[in-house]
Amino acid sequence: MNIVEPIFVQVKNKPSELALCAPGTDFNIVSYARMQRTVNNICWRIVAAGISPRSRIAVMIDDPIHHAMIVIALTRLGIVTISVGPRNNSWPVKLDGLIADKPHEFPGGRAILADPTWTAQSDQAIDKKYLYRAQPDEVCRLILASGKDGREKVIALTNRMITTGLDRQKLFLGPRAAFCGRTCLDLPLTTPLGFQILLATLWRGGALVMTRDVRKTLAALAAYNVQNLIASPQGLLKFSEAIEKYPGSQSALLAVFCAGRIASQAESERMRARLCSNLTVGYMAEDATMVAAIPAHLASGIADAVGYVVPGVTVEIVDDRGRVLPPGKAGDVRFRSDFGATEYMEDPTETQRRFRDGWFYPGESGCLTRDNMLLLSGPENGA
Amino acid sequence: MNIVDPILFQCRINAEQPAICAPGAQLEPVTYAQLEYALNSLTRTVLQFEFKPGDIVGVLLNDKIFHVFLTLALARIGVATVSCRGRSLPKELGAVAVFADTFGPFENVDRIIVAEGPWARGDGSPVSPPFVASGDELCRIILTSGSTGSAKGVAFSHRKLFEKNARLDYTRLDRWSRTSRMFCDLGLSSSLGFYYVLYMLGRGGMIMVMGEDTVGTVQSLNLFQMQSMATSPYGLAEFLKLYELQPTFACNFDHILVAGSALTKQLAARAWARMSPNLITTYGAAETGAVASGDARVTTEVPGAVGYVLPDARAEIVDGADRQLPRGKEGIVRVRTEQTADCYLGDPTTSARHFRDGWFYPGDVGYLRDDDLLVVTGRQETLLNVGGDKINPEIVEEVLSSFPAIADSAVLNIPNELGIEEIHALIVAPGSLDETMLRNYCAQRLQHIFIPVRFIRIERIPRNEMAKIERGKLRQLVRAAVG
Repeated sequence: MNIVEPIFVQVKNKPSELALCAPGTDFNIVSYARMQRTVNNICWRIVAAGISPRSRIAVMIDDPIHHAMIVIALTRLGIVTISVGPRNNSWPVKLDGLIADKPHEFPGGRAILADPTWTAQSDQAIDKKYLYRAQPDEVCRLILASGKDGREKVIALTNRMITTGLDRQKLFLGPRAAFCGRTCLDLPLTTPLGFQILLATLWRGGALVMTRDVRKTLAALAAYNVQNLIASPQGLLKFSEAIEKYPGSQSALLAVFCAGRIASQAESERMRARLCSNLTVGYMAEDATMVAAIPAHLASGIADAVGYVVPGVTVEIVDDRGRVLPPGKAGDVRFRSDFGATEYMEDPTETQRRFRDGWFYPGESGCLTRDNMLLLSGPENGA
Repeated sequence: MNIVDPILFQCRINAEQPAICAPGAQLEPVTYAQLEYALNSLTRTVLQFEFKPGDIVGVLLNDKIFHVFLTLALARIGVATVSCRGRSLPKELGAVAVFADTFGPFENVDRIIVAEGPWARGDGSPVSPPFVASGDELCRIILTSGSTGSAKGVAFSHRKLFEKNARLDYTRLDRWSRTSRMFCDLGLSSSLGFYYVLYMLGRGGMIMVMGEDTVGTVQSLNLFQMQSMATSPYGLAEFLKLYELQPTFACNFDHILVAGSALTKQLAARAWARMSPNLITTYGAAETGAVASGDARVTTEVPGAVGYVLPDARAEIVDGADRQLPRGKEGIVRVRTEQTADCYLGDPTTSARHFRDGWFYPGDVGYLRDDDLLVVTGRQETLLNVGGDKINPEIVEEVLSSFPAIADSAVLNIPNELGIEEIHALIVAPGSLDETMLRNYCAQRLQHIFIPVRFIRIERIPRNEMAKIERGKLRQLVRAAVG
């Protein structure tokens, strides 16, 4: 199944309902029907440009809704996408082209300018012969990962890995998140979780608010009764500060997810006080696997806790000889799952360093408690 | 990953939230903390029976919550379970034991273990069973409806169950995935009944199953603010009658999912008016999972429409030689999904009839529209052939059941002394019945040849847990009634 097809089931079901919202941008709000029309128009543009299925295309579009719709259109045609921010022309993997919203050179491939006229065409449905029927183990998405050393690496995600990841959200996003239909995403689509949340929300016929201007977003959260907020620790602090700054703002969120460790207990309490007491924190490794998650109040007072290991992931703590250490003993963290990446694309050196014997070594030190809570203490010994 | 692992994770982070409820002797729902306790206690108990991973065990327990707990505990130790409908299991399954409420003969199973309630109240501290699921181990056997014959077992691994559950987020349109409190009127022995329990508990939601009596359950629906209901058309009709008889009962479902057989426009209209404005129909099989779904406001406009084919499912209409027919042409329905089973356990003959080249043949006849709306016009094996003219028995049954004095009905063909098949009707009519009025009523709605030649009153139409008529039993009932 092509991973974007369930979105079009929802289009059929609820065409006039809110699908995407980015307050303060040109698109602002987009219904499912308008999203489909726009995606169709973009598809025709891509077909006319002669980009063939299985090509690898980078998407460098600033407007989040425009970016999302281009990625959906490309995926629908069987083109492998990688979302990127503004950058120079150095790429860690070979790509076939770039779609950007500003003129950009792309040596060795095609650079296509996607200006707003792309989205306004005849609205004609894309011919079924162009719709790509994907296989479960085909790569459909590339993720740019940048570790502690700043070196860029690329993870390839298959349809199966993405589908499994979407289903696992009900575990790691925390209590009540699985039942929220309207979500605010304060992570860029260039991140693995950002892309997953986009897909998951639209699969389920929900509405996704993507942040630009914090104050306008706060107003949108209230106006559209957004129930769930997913952000980085910095993003959550930004929202907390905004609510403190504008006392008329209230939060009616049912669930908040923090993608990353919160710096201190005080910050955690501040976020819970201002945003939502139901705050869950998650630890996602560089290979795009969500390894652990925990409601923040359960981790309260437990130093270095990043969460309970999420089902489906096996975590071990090993010494420098690779011997497994018992609970409570600190060492190097390694983990594996059925749905994680097995290499960095076109980077055998880094692959050899991080992926060994079926395990991924994120370069973290830590320990496991008896009840499978993961505590991280710092960078890998000897790194 | 074991199917129980996500549930145990929810037990950790949602400890005090309600998990499962079956209104009856105990009104309050069981919390996730209590669920975890019971699971741990039961896991210790079942380990003592020395089952091996891969063993198949039957479960026949009246207490639905205990039934769920025991099934999950057995899954934890690698035992595959099958929920029984009566005191027998198909021999082909090779079940090594059955957990039941009482001792007594059990067809095709020698070892009967009487399950005791205190098992769930023993040592509830965390336990790590030796079995670790990689995902491909056998986990669950679903007995298909067997509406046209004997029950057949379809096997699922842990992985397949996860894949099936993951699809539930979009195969029931959009409102379903946002439900945190669901009432499931489908039995645990049905594929959907079991999936919904896994689905809700794996997400930290609350599921209510039918309690000891219908009225008590209905009164609890609003008490616990259940948001949605999963039922069959038969179940929907039963609840509708209750709500129509009790005008003071408010029905607050946001939506109702109807599966198992076709939903008629007549029933849908009454349900919209009294129970919920949002009805979702879904079509599929235990062998494949959901194949099509749709809003009932669309599907009931086209007789036999069951929904739009889902993006990760395929449906084709073929002739008797498996040649694909054009859109709009009626033929044999065949379907497939990525979770389609390979065969019926231990039954190669029936498997060869229904599973071919990766396709599953559910035994339905129908056509596909250009917009991917799948329309099922009848069953291959249950079409009633009256002197060369054929009719779907459900059409006749719908007419009969719509007659005010008739509560339920089933029809079958019986040859007369000349060998000509004639339609006979089994009817449930609690009060008085004017047969002349009934015949006139049928004459206004059916062709003459399809009006039953005989109406036989019985107490109950045999139906399985998906509320499908067990047509294999009808002939016996006729013989018993007329001698």
